[in-house]
Formats: sequence, C-alpha cells, structure tokens
Amino acid sequence: MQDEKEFIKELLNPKTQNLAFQTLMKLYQKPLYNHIRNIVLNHDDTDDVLQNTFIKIFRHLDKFKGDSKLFSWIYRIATNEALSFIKTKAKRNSTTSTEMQSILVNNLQADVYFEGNEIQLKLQKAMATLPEKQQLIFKMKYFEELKYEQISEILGTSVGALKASYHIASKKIEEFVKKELNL
Amino acid sequence: MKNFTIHDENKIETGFKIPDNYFEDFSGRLTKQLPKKTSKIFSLYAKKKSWLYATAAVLVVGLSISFYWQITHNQNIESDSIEYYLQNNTVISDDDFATILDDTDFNNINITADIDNESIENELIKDYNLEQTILEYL
Repeated sequence: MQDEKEFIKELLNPKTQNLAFQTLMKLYQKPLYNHIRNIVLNHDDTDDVLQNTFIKIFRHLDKFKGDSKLFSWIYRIATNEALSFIKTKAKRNSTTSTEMQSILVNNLQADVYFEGNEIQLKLQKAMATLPEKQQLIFKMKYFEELKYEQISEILGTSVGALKASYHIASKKIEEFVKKELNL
Repeated sequence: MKNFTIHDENKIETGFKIPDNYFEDFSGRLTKQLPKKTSKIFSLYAKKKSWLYATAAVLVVGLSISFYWQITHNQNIESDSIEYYLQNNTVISDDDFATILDDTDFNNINITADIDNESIENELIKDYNLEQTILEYL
C-alpha cells in the first residue's frame, strides 16, 4: 500500500474520502471476510457483520487517532463486531456465547456454503471447545496466517502469551480430533 | 492418520465456500448503505426572519410543555424494567463500557454485596476464559 499516513489523510479529507474508502474496501474486504467468517461461521451472518464493520469504520474514520496501525484498528473493529454479533445471537436464543459456538458448528453440516470433509468438521468442533480468545488466536494464526506481531497489535496481547496460547490450543485440538477419530 | 497433527504437510483448510461474484458485488452494495457525510447548505430567506423567530418561539414553548408533561407522567417506570429493557434490547459490548468508563468511574462504583472468598473462587473456576486470562498475566 502507499504511504499509510498519506492514505489516512486521503481518508479524512472529504474531497478524497470516497475514493480512498473504495480503495480501503478493495484491500480489506477479502481478509476481513475470512476473519469474520472464521468467528461467525455462516456466510449470511458474515455478510451482515462485514457490512456493519465497514459502515462503522466509515463513521469513525475521524476518530482514528493514528496511534495504532490502520490495519490493526480495522481488524479490532471487525473482531468486536463479530464477537458482539455472537453475543447478541446467544442472548436472543437464551444461551451463552460458548453454547452458541457449538450450535453454529452443528449447523455447518446443513450449510450449503460449507463443503468441509470429516476432518474439517471435527476441526471446527474442536475449536468451538476452546476459550473465546484461544479460538481467536488459533484461527488468526492457523487459517489467516497472520504474524504474531500483527495478532499482538490487534488483540493487545504480548507475543509470548500468543505463542503459549497457540501451542496450548493446537495440543487441545489435536487431542480432541484424535479422540473423535478413536486414534 | 495414527499420528494426527494439524501442522503436517497437508494443512487443513476451513471448508468454507463463498458465493460466486460475492466480492464483485459487495462494494457496490455497501456504498449504497454508507451514510452521507456532507449535507447541502442553503440560506434561509433573510426577509422572513421575524416570522421564523416567532415560529421557533411557539415551537419551543409547545415542545417544552409536552416534554414537561411526559417527564412528570413517566417517572413511575421502575428501574428494574429499564435495566431489563437495556439488557435485552441493546448491543452494548464490554468493550463499549470499557471505552466509556474511566478509572474514576470504576472507583466510584460501590459494591455493597457481601461476597465471601469461597464464592469468588467458585465463580472463577466456572469462568471459561480464566486459563487465557492467567496466561496473559504470566
């Protein structure tokens, strides 16, 4: 991307804002879609959350202070939107966020936009058993292939703690899948 | 498969499928929903200013009366009902609260419940994210 400071100026200037925002959308729509989809799992829900995320980014552009990178600020908004979505959905179904995750994973089998095999489904089930933040860390590292430094900026957790969490999450997932497959 | 590991050569993909042309259509759909930040500025008729002032004064008096009436007639809503409504009809996240409140607000919160250490311990054991929280503080 061009110089970030220059790009932020364009985003904040009413004359160049619309064009700059189009560029921002093109740059971030795919990675943010994947990030949100990994949390909410269903395509239609992802579409809603992705739209809300971009609308929130657009509305709050003038509040972006520049003390963090644009990348991490945008990812933080997307993460919060996706987690809030799960919480609201859980509340509507009179259940907890953790239970909601399991329900969403079980719904995958009937989802036309999920074509995962047995192992992929078991992996989703295994991830749903992890604490919320461990899930996030695992998905961001394993599926989205973000660097620890990037995840650290987004989640505000030290690189050391992230590495420990990722290691623990991987072990738990492997144990879960092995047990499921009777290995 | 005996030594199942998620970090072997064949990385496991998510299995998620995206509808065709989704991203091509997305920006167009979103642009239509973006709030307009600029609004057209127009000048009011200078000659009719006195009429405008008179109309504004009438509106202020009228609205004040109706607000006063509403305030005096709605004071009997129980705080429990308000709390219930807020809990079930808003999407304020913990992060939103953290942004709004500062240290002074937290210090001003008076915890009156008599909670013993055992209860706190039991509650913490039930906390699903405790392991992660401890990890972050190590």
